[in-house]
Amino acid sequence: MSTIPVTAGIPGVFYSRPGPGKEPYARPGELVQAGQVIGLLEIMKQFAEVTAPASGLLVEFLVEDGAMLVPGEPLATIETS
Amino acid sequence: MQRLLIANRGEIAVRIARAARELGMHSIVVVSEADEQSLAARTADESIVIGPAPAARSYLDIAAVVAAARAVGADAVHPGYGFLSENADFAEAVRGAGLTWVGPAPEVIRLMGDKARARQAALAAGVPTIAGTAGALPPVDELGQEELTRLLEQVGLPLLIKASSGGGGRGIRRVDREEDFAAALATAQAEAVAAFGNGEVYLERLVHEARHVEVQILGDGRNAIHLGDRDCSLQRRRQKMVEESPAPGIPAAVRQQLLDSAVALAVSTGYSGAGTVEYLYDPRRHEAAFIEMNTRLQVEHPVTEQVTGLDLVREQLLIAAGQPLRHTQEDIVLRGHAIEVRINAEDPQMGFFPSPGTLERLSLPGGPGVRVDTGFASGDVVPPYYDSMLAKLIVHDEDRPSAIRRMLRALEELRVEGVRCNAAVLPGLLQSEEFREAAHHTDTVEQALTMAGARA
Repeated sequence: MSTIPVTAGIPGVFYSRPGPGKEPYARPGELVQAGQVIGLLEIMKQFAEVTAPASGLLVEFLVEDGAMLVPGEPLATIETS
Repeated sequence: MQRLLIANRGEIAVRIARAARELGMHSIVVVSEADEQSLAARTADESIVIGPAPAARSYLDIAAVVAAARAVGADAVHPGYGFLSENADFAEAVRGAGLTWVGPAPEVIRLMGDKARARQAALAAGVPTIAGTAGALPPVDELGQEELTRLLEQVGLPLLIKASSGGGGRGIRRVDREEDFAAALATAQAEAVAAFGNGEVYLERLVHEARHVEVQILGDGRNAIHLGDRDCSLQRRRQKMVEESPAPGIPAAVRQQLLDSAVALAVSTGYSGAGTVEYLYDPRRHEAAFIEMNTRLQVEHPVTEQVTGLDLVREQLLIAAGQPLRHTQEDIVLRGHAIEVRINAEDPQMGFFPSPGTLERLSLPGGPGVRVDTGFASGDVVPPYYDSMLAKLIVHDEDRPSAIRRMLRALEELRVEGVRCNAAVLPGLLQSEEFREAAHHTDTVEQALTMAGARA
């Protein structure tokens, strides 16, 4: 079992849901699959999906919705079995 | 009108501040926390912070902008383009606060914002429209098979399903096969509800390899004139890259029909201010048809300014202040040819991915017939929160071939360092045979980029 970070590949504003008032892509405590979308990064009106780097338990988000991230910044953690 | 609030950012905020200064008006620009040091803030007489960086909490926040207008004692609001410029609720809020709205009446914004109703208004004013449905369709489950078949026969395939609340290339779904129609209609209506909160859609025949041609109009609520046309066919993902005036290679009779019908639509709606009627031109059939009307200043307005010699923002402000149109149609003389290119902070090597950062160096072209509208100077930060446009390069010359050469020269002089930009792909587009012979259309850029990618 190991805990791995999900990091921002690009700079951008982080969102955990596809739009205001929508359900979040994933909640802490849920199991996610490698490649599953768990958030969005918005940069200059373009959106890039944030995907889980590995299958496992989504432990927590480390940043708030609307936070500005720099490349490489950890935004969530996943516990793999 | 003495104190003008500019409810926008970037180059258009600078552009509006300049026009205000020339009219002797005091300008106050709203800024987000990310834009406190922006060129717009440095150019306007004053600036006021209205919220944090994300646009939803600053430039799109109606209450914050109206509160700022009150706080600084503004008596008029210019919305620029984008953001709240076509938001009828914002226009109403501005008027409700006792301020002058620089733009058409809220009900006209609302009419043109509802693309199905706008299409009906265009039909009623005698504006040519593409084969399609006159208004919004009922929900798909209320349509029988007979009705669906009748619609297909009326419009023809391939067709586009368009959301009434879409526009600017959003909310459009293409249907090529009869058997896909019902499912696509259901999806489009559901998507329209999700995206715009309004499930109304309508149908239009798809025009292959069409050109995007538009007419600039000015109205004072009673009379209207046109300021010629523009072609904006070189687009990438429905975002314009190159714009010019006049539109090349349009038969004289078609051009006159576009100009006259744009004026007729403006008069029929009691249009006040600057507006643009957009058309698709089908070069095979030599036919043009209405797409939509934009009830604001366009990004590409400078090409019209170069060929007419008018200052569109000045005219907007004077009309908003209650002056009748200062020019008759006969006063408008179009001289030479103007081209604009958009320089965006995006990396052509990385699929045009946005490239914000610190603009280490921005060295602008100059000399005869060259104009640059930008919201940045060397050393400024290009924030990641807003659109990627760095600057607009505009050239004017006596004819189209000379204007193309002048633009190539201007692009050679441009230096952008610190962020990536799209300037390197523009000379190839301008020099392409398709563009030089005005055989380009709205898919030309994507096709050219695909071919370049295939060669690389």
